[in-house]
Amino acid sequence: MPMPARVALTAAALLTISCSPPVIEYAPPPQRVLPGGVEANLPMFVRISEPNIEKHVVQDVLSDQPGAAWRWTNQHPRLKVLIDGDPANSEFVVEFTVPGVVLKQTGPLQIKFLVNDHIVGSGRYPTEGKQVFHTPVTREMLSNPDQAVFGMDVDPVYVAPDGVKLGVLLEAIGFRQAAAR
Amino acid sequence: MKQVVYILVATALTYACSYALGSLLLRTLSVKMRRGEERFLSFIAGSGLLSTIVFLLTAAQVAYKGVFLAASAVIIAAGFWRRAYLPVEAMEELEPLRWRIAFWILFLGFGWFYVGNALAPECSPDGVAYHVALPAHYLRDHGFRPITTNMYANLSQGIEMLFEYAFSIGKHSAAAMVHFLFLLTLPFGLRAYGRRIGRPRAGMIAALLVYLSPVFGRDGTVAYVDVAAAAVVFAMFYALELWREQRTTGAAILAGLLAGFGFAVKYTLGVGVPLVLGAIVAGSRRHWKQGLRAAAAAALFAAVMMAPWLIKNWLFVHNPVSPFYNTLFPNPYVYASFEQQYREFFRHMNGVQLPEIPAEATVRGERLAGLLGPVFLLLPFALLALRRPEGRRLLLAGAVFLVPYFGNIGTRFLMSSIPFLALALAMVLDEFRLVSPLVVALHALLSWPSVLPLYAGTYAWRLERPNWSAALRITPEETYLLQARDDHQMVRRLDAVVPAGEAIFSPAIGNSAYHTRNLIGPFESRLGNRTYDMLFRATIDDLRTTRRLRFHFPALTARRLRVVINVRNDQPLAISEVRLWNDSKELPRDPSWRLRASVNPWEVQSAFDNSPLTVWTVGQRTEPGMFLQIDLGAVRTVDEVTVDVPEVQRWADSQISVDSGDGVWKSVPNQPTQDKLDWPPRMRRAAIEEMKASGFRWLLLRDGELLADDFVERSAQWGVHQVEYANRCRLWRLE
Repeated sequence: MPMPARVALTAAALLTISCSPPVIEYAPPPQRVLPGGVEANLPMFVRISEPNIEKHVVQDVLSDQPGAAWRWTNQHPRLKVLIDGDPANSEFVVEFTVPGVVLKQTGPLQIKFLVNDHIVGSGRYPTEGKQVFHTPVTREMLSNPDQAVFGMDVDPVYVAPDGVKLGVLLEAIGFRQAAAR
Repeated sequence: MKQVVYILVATALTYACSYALGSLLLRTLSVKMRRGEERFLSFIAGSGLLSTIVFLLTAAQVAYKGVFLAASAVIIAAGFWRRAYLPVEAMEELEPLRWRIAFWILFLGFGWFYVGNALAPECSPDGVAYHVALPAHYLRDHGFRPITTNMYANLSQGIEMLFEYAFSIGKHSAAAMVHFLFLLTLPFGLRAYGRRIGRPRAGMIAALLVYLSPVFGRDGTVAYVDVAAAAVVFAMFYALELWREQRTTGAAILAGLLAGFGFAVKYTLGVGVPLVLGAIVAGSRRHWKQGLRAAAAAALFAAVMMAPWLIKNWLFVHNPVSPFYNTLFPNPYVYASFEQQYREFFRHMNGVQLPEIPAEATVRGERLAGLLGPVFLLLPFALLALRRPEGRRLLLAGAVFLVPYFGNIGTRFLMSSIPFLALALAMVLDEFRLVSPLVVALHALLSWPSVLPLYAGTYAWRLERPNWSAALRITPEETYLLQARDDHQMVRRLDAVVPAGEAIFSPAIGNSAYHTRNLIGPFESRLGNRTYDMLFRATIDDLRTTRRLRFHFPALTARRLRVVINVRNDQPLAISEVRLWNDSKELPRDPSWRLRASVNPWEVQSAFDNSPLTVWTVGQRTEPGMFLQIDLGAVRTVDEVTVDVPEVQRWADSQISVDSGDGVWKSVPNQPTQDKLDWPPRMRRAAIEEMKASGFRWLLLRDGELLADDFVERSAQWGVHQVEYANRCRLWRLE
């Protein structure tokens, strides 16, 4: 074989060797251990001070600084949560404050409490101060298996000089284990 | 105001260094040219040299402000010493006086808008995501480091090197101002060319068509690179024209160098290299030896400008042209399947079809992000320039740079061909003495920033009225940025909240220019792709890997075993787990096993890690014959193989091949049955564990984006804690 051909062949062989991709292989990795236990229940009791409170608000809850302990409601506040687990043994709880400034303008407040548009209780509130409404969770409250919308209908409401209808100062609302109250 | 001074000094130094380098180069190459040409070409060619110098300093890990300033001092001193700033010839003024007056009125009038925008704090989407963010990153590290989680770091960054230089002195807005220099320079290149071909008015018309064009105005006043790209390729063409006249090696070198710089600015402008070489060879038919020498010289200097980027990518991400051609250069950092989707998206950006492009790119400017101006609807008349040799050359260059456009139909990607087409159109308009001033006047009127909203799309990408208070920093930069970008408040908190070195997965917020933490997006890398997919797999039924293909066969002995794909599909097949069984008992995965894959071998372990969340994927279109291989290390008895795939991949089909130890592969005749597996509980939590195993400690989500609600509603199930909330952006810590 002439020299130039040999050189060319050698170069081609070297090129071929140098271009072959290295074999990439691995041993089996450490085996993942999946998290044990059961899925954490989602909170169905909403505190207004939660950082993500806006995600629960459907209507008629005024905006405020994140972390504020309470927020003004309008006439028909509604908040939603995802149903997770069985809340049948829980109770529906609403923590709120009847503000004196409203009572002075409107007189006693009549408040209806609702879950998924079902009226689950009502009360007359003639004096200012913190109030807690609670009632056991019933099957009729759980008409939607995936989501619950909690609400209050406040009547009458104070119409502020800027035209905003103000109801109560809401602090917390939702389903809560009876024992935890 | 002090900040403004730094910005202006940075801009001036960039210009001064570029000009000196370019002027010295042109004199060394002995290219004969007139004063206007010299000014234009000195800056553009010099910017290529300065860019390469900054690249080399960054590659040498000495990217310090002091080093850049020292280099500037040397360059500028050399410029003065060799009289680089003095013109070689007196300026020729061939345009009619009326045109010159009109030019300067429009140039300065629009320039007032432009400079006000360019000086304002930089907040353009791509600017803060990578055009400025990456140079800032290099400066913090004082050099290049492999960045494998952001494909934009792999694009050629010729102009970003100039941004890096300017940023070291004047920070973010200095980058935008450097880009603005190219917008200011390009019209003078067009004017000079008009004079050269004896059509000074045509040069003037083209200069105004380009300079006043809304997309040039918008793009050229932020830290993007498209106007610079247009200027560089026009300079390349100009150098080629000089070679055509002078036939000197120096002119050929200049053309080659600028063609290579075009590639260094944007990969797609690499089409300029064959244009230069082809033109030189074709233009030297009578003196072919001389032509070949000139072409070789041009090719060499083009290679010098291109090579740094190719080598950097080869070393860092094993693909010289990353993030493209990943099938040709397989690598562990970018999926070919992602590249395919990415290309497809930009080929049909926002669903725009080919016949819609003229109206979208010239009038509406909404779906293609920017508008050239309605006057560019006259471009078909540019074909009349084919009657003249200069027109033919311009249209050929315009056509060459138009070719890559169809890979990304955004208006910005037309800009590289516009100077050529504008000149060709101007040559035609110039023949109608009464029409051409009217066209220019109409273009100016329709391009005026306050007129644009009257006809362009509501969300067209266009200039706003300049905020001089912000531009001059009377309004503090922070105040302006908080109003301009809804993510700014959050990203400014990252440095305070997230410890250095901890990675943040950020699907929708890519602003990386105003903090120093590592945001990893869902699309910019394999790691991002995999992580995003995994989060969806934890939440969406169809993506769960609950479909089990069960291959049951009479017991056989196997040393090696393959799962061979039997099907072709545009989607990449994914496999979460491959398990081997004998007598209904799974063969424990032994450390002596060796796992391989014919494609995407780097992720093969994901099919053997006992996690239904992680998958091995072919990472490209699924083709028959692709396989996963297990070398058992010894001969074992197997009577069943199971392969788990996502529910959505009902088309998955494969077969088993076995090597019993004699090196011969035999297919096991078997049709798999399909079962549905139970999805284990707590997979959201498992996904977070996987993210932590991949190095993530944080998650940044904007309200309203995919998965954001799920994290808010089910934060307890994910196991994440919200640490910061600002302007609808939430920073979650992975617990």
